[in-house]
Amino acid sequence: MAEEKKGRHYLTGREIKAIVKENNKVIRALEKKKKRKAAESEFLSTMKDPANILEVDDLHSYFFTDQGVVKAVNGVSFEIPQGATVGVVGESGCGKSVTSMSIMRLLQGPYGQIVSGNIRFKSYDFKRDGKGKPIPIWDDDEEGNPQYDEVKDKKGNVKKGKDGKPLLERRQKRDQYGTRLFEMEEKVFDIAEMPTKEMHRLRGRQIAMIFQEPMTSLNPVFTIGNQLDEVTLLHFPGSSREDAKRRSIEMLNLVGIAAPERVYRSYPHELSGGMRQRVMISMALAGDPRLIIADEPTTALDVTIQAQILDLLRDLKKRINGSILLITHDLGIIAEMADYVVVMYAGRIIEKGTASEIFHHPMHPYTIGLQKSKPTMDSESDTLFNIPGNVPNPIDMPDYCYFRERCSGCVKACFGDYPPMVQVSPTHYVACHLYDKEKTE
Amino acid sequence: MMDENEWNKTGSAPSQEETVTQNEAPMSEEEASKSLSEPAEETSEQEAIPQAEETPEQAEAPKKGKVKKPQIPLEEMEAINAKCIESGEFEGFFDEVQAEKERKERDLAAKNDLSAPPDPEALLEVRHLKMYFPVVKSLTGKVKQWLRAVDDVSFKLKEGETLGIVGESGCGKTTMGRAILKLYQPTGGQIFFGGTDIAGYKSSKMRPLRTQMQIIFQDPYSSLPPRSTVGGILSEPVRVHKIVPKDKVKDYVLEVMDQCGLRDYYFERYPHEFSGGQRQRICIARALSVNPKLVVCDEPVSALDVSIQAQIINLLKNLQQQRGLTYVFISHDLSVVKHISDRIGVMYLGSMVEFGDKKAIFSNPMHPYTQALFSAVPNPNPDVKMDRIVLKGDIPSPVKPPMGCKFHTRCPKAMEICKHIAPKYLEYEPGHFVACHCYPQEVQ
Ligand SMILES: Nc1ncnc2c1ncn2[C@@H]1O[C@H](COP(=O)(O)OP(=O)(O)OP(=O)(O)O)[C@@H](O)[C@H]1O
Ligand SMILES: Nc1ncnc2c1ncn2[C@@H]1O[C@H](COP(=O)(O)OP(=O)(O)O)[C@@H](O)[C@H]1O
Ligand code: SF4
Ligand code: SF4
Ligand SMILES: [Mg+2]
Ligand SMILES: [Mg+2]
Repeated sequence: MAEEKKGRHYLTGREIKAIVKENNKVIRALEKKKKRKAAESEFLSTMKDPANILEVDDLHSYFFTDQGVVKAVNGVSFEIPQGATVGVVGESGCGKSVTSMSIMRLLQGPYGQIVSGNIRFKSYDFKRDGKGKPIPIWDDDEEGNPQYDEVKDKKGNVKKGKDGKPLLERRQKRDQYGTRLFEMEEKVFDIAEMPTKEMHRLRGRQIAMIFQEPMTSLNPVFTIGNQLDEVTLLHFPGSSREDAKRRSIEMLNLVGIAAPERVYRSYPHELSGGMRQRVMISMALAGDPRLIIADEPTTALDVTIQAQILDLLRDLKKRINGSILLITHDLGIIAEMADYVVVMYAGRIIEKGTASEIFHHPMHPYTIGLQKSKPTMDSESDTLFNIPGNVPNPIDMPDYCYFRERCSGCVKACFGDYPPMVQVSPTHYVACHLYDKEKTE
Repeated sequence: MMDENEWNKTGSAPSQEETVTQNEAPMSEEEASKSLSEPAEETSEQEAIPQAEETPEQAEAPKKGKVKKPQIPLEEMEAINAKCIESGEFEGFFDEVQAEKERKERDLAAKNDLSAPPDPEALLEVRHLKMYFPVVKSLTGKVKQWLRAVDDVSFKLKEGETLGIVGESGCGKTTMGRAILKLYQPTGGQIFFGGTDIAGYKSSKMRPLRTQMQIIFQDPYSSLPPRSTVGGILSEPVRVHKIVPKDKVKDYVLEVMDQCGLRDYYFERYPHEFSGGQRQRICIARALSVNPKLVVCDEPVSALDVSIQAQIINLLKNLQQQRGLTYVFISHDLSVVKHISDRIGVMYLGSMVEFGDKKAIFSNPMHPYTQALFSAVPNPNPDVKMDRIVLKGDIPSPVKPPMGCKFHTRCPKAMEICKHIAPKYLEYEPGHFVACHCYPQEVQ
């Protein structure tokens, strides 16, 4: 049947039926796994390197379409060190977004599924007591005596008990935005193994995401303030509306919005593209995340606003001591922002290394081509380099190097298997037969 | 607030009939591309109406009995301005009366230019082009406020050359491109195409010119009709405009497709089956199929990723060499424009702030806004951490542009004078025009 398929651009009804049947079987099993009840121990894991905050290990995320299985992410491994910015580049359709959606567990089900692999994340969560309640950090005086404050209701009036006396609560430590502090602990979770229900512990709080088109991710019928408050109310136990508002305004301040009170009361459509993207970033920050995934955060914006947002992201990373996974097709942005770079092509990583390795010593022919095709300000030549040809059909991937049809530097080995990942320096890896030691010798 | 009469005073007002066309909603991309390929319906033509734009002197008589608003003292104006800038609400201060006065002075000064004969060397010469849209209407339907999307833009473009237009979104690039092609009826100014002023042409008079002027849109996804095949999309304008005899249409279309890097078996396929880059090639083929002289490319690569951008830019350049095309190439990214342009125009809030040869602009960007645009382009070298000029805030609303120099609310070099007096658009090197108080305001 495979032979037959080659010459045609379509599938017959019977072929599609067979595919659908096969797909449904796989999807059902995977969905069941996601819905299962699991003890925490089932998805606890350990980091290969404790300096990392995220380790993605041989991740496969597929789409089970009626035309066949699209291997959108096909064996991707990389890690994000604590405090670093990792950039992912590649042309559209290469699987950048699917990788980030897999980390967030937001793949469009039931057709989109993580099929195999591990995503280990070092979570820094509330320590919980026997009943599952977070343990507050009390703000006692120097001698260790508990301090008490009057409890206030939503309107700021002192709450009274049945006996008419003001209600008291023990004073809890708060962060600089006035949000209550709890005891924290570090755990490593394997996101790929977690039941969907458990994801709320990470999503939006410890891992936050900034999308390409801010308008689609903000709710048009609620004010910015409403949506920002929601993050705090959802993720920080014991927060009052007042606490939430204070935190929201602080967050808007943090992202450089000059009139936070006004923006707090605005609806998304009243803001410009740049402002909305700032609001998105402030919303991502409100959960106090340790990892921010920014998926083409500036592609919908023009260059001057892009410069503002990049400036902001750089500044914020320093301040919050978090890590950023930055996804883009613009090498210039990666060069400016990233410490490490991952280059993807057709669902696989073809090269990764530090920013300076990738930019000064790119090794894979695709990376080299990508760099040459970027229009730059200082290049003298008038014609731009462009990589000829197209990405192979995602449903029918070849078993040799995916880049072969477009590659100008083919060697004999390229007509054999898909090239393995070769380590060329402690941090630099490339998957290309040109650097395949045993074979070139 | 301006009513219709006051509006007429400025001299660039549309006549009653034209106002009606103004009020129509702007054409969508699909409609616009249709109107480029199809002749207008006969019924919509009313040739009798004289079309030429009034020159300023025509509606000069001042209106009596109207009490002028007192002008706000300078100190107060400054205080408000300072506050606006500080709070990030970059609206700037706006004094309607003063702004109106300035516009009038400017239009009077432009009178000489408008009566001069067109430059015989230029294929396209635009003089003091204005495109205003009504935004606020009173209950009686009178326009109370105008959005000045393009306000007094002038340039010349020789045959076979490319003019790159850069500027942030919302600065009026698209509007200008569409006004040049008469997809909008310009509010004022002149557009000389091949030596004749087409600014006042009605659609029927434009029809024979339609094949000579084409446009390629930013979004390759929405500008192609989803229910026609690629062959159908490309054949239609060829057939309508009778570019080649009927029996040769298919061969001709296949030839154009080949030139644009489209394989022949795409002929029977539908737009949704193609990637962004391929769709943009289809749009280019459609524009070129009628053999135009001038093509307005409105952000043709902004929606595409880097590797595809390079393909499309190279394609446009090759086609230009083969066919001697003239391009107006619009983009917000200077690094893209650089590779295709001979001249570059930088727009801000409806005005041209700098214009010149590519070399002049790149070796010596004079206007602070151009300099900021330069430094906004990310540098693909991780070791060069440049001192970037980050402009604060957004582009202000073109309904109430800031007084004086429109850029002063965001300009890192703004001076006192910039808040009150608009800088003159002057030629500092041959062919290099700049409007900024940083440079002498006297013509050498
Ligand atoms: N619905 C479809 N039916 C048939 N072929 C399709 C369909 N969608 C895409 N293709 C083909 O698959 C190939 C890859 O398309 P895809 O949209 O993934 O490209 P891409 O890499 O995203 O390109 P770009 O960056 O230009 O958008 C192209 O050759 C395209 O013609
Ligand atoms: N909902 C979906 N259904 C089917 N295929 C999808 C879906 N979303 C993405 N894909 C496919 O997955 C691949 C990678 O897509 P994506 O990660 O979105 O690319 P990008 O690198 O542009 O972010 C593409 O081949 C795309 O067609
Ligand atoms: S493995 Fe061969 S075909 Fe693939 S990129 Fe390397 S040289 Fe080119
Ligand atoms: S005139 Fe003044 S505000 Fe305008 S660009 Fe020049 S220096 Fe800046
Ligand atoms: Mg994407
Ligand atoms: Mg535009």
